[in-house]
Amino acid sequence: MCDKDLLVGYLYDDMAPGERRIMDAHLVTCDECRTELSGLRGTRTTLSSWAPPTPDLAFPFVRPAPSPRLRARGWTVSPAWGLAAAAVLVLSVASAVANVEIKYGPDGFSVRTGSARAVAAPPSAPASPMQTVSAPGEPDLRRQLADLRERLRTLEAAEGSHPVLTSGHAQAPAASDLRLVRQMIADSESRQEQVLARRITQVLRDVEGARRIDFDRTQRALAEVQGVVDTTMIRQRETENVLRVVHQSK
Amino acid sequence: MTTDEELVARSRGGDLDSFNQLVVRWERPIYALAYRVIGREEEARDVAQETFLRAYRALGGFKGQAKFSSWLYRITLNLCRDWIRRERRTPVSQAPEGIDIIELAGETEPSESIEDLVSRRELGRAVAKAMAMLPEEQRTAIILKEYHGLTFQEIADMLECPLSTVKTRLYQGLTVLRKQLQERGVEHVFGHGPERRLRAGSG
Repeated sequence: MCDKDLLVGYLYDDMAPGERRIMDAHLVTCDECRTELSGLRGTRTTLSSWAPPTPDLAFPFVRPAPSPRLRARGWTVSPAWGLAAAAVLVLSVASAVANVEIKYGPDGFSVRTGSARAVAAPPSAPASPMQTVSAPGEPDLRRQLADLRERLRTLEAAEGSHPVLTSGHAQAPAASDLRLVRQMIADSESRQEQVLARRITQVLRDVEGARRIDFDRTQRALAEVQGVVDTTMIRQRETENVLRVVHQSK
Repeated sequence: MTTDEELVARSRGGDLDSFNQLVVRWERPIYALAYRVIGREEEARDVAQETFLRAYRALGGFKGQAKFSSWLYRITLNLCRDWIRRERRTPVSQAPEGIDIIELAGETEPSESIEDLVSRRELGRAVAKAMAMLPEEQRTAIILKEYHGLTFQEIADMLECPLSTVKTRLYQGLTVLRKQLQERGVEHVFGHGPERRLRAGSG
């Protein structure tokens, strides 16, 4: 019966010089131990492929506070932060998009916000079938509404269709009309804000996703390198032990 | 380089910076030990952090009869044991199940094919799973010897058991590992080139 304690000591080069000599002699004659030793060495080689992850540990309890620049490097973007940032950005953009564009043409009547262009409304209705005017203030808006109503009525009369706008507001735009237009503007802005918020959130998610993938790749690569380095260091230590033993035996 | 013993002496005198140096020096081995014993990243991190907290609190009681690293290892192993008992479960491998070939392509070294890299990853996963199946005392002995390079005597002192028990645990654990890895299709090809491969179609 072979001594397995000696075998494992031989496997790790962790044994007294006398034991080593005994084992050397034994291996010359014992095929079973030679085969087992070879198999266990193979197992050790396989074990070296198991590398732990290499997270940024940075235990904080006695570590000096990092400088603001370092702190900023470790800053991460969370979904909640992304939404908040999107909201702030949307508000900023919405405030910049102050212009209102009213379009009137063959496709019908539409009101939407546009890019910030402060173009004064033309003083009178032009003859072209498509008209774009801006309404920076309430007096202009009232004037344009009255003008539009008039043009609608003209068109309706020409085509013999039923009136789109009821009578009673022909002379001047009522407060209800202004509320209607304001509501349409608000609805339009709200839709645009939602679209913008969704897009910004998506972009932030994409950036965060890409950052995480890059980080994971780097971490895994480092873990693998660390595993190789650890194994090399252990082997080197074992070699030193052997050299020490040889030196002592001399 | 300042030795651990010098840094410990200064730390005991209230020098936080010295203890901080010890933390920086040993945090990664301690984390690796905890990770390999309990098999979970976040919990291993918690155990590692708790190890240093306990060490700091107990510095006054550390008389230097053992190496500082051995003392830290012992604290870590006790915490791991507590965690395993508390959770009443065996360690699990957190290795990802799927492998993205496209992603791997970017990580391949010039001398290494994707196939080799996949093999290396698969090997790591196979080892983690096989290790998780071992009894705790065999797993701990293998981890301390194989990955931390401790001597049999240091392990025996740390685990408070006879030297022959350590060798027996190692031998038994390695034998079981060898068998399990063979059953998982890991074979060894010694010589030049990649030393380890998974047989095609094996799990």
